[in-house]
Amino acid sequence: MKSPNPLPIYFDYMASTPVDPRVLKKMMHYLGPDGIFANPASATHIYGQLAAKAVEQARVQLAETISAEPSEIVFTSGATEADNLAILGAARFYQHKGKHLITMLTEHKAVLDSFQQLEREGFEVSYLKPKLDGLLDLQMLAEQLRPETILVSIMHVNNEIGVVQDIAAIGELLRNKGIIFHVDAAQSAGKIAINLKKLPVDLMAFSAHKNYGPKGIGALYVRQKPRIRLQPQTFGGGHEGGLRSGTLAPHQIIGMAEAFAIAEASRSLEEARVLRLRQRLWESIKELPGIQLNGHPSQRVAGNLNVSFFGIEADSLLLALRGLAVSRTSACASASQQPSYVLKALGLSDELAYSSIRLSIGRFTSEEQISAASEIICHQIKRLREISPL
Amino acid sequence: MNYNKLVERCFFQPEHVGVLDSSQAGVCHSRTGDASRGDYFDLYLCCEKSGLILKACFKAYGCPYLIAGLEWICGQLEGSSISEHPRIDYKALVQLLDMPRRYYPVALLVEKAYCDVVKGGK
Repeated sequence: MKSPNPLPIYFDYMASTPVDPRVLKKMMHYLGPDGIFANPASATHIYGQLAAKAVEQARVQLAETISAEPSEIVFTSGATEADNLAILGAARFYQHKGKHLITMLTEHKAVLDSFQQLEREGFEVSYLKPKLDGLLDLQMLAEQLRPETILVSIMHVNNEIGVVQDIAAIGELLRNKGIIFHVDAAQSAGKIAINLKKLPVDLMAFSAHKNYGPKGIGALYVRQKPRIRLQPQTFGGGHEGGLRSGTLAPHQIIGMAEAFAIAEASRSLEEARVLRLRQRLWESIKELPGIQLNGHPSQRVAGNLNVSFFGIEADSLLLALRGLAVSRTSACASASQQPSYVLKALGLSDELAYSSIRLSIGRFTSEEQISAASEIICHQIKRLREISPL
Repeated sequence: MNYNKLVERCFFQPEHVGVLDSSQAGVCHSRTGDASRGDYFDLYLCCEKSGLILKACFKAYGCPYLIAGLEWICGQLEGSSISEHPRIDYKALVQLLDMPRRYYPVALLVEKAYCDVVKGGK
């Protein structure tokens, strides 16, 4: 019998992804009494030694996917903690060199809130406004650089509008200026090639659960040559080279590494498929009256569509599209009931920002789900327009 | 946001969306709200000389409670006598639609439009 209220189709892969069954299977070996469950820091017995070995193997596996050295990986509880450690840790360590920092208005809250904390500590922060397409104006960045600038933080892929910043060009601009370059790569890892042997990036934050791994685990890449120093933000045991104290979680770490390895192995094919699905969805809805695509049309990650519906009230839009699990803003900001600050930075009015949704497509999205989404969006938007007197 | 069954039915299957020609005899019209504030709507009714309301309809830009409230009001008006109205106030709408407190102004707007259009019909 057909359920009267079937679950909506999942279109929120940029908020979180399901754990890939292959990842889940591997993680299970590191949890139960017959598995490798021990504390990796328990060096006095075989249980702990096996756990430590598994963690180090995972570190190697993860590092390979981004062309980094294993010793450059610091495991954290997620990208938020990695961003916090990078920004707070670098700024506090290098503050004797200067107290000026640069970021963008459209960064994730994990980055913006870290900078706000630093402002309270006496640092000065320049917040760069994006161009109307969401991309950074390199010239604007160049003009903001000062002798006392010590850190620039620009995200790789924006979590709301999916635009891809040219981090190679930004890094080149900052090279040999003594400025640390931090990149939040929570939304790009596994979707865009990341080669830290070539990219001029000093610190890069990663998340597992945006990449078909488990929640509660992330990592920070910390460049060793030239060595980037950070002031630790957590204390209690000196794990992870003293940068992040706390018992390591082997099942989470193994899950993250496996997820990243799977993503890297299938990246080209998967992104081509996801891009084709996104293009199909956009082609089917782009002629709807009052619809607008937010963010650069092509310099964006394959799975992201962020669209506004002019003249459609926000709550009615969300109810009308209840057959689709979508976001109105980023999951990390959705509790605020405020219009998206990312869309507002692009110049959208409060009203239009509220009447916007993010559809994000991923590994398990099917052709049938795209067809169903297209039908729901077209039918419901036309219906709301017929009801509207505007 | 969770909505009750009545809101969902009125929102997804409205039967009173439309426009009436206000220049015709017996047709009354009320325009209420402010689009920039998120609520803007027209409410129409067409009355016979006897007072029988032949048709009630609306057009609305606003939240689901606004659309559902107008749809329900139109259902109450249509087929009744204008002399029976006004008999509905915002409190009844709030209760019927299970409206959270922050949406009470929407119920007040619907009540105002309803009273205005009924007054015009008399």
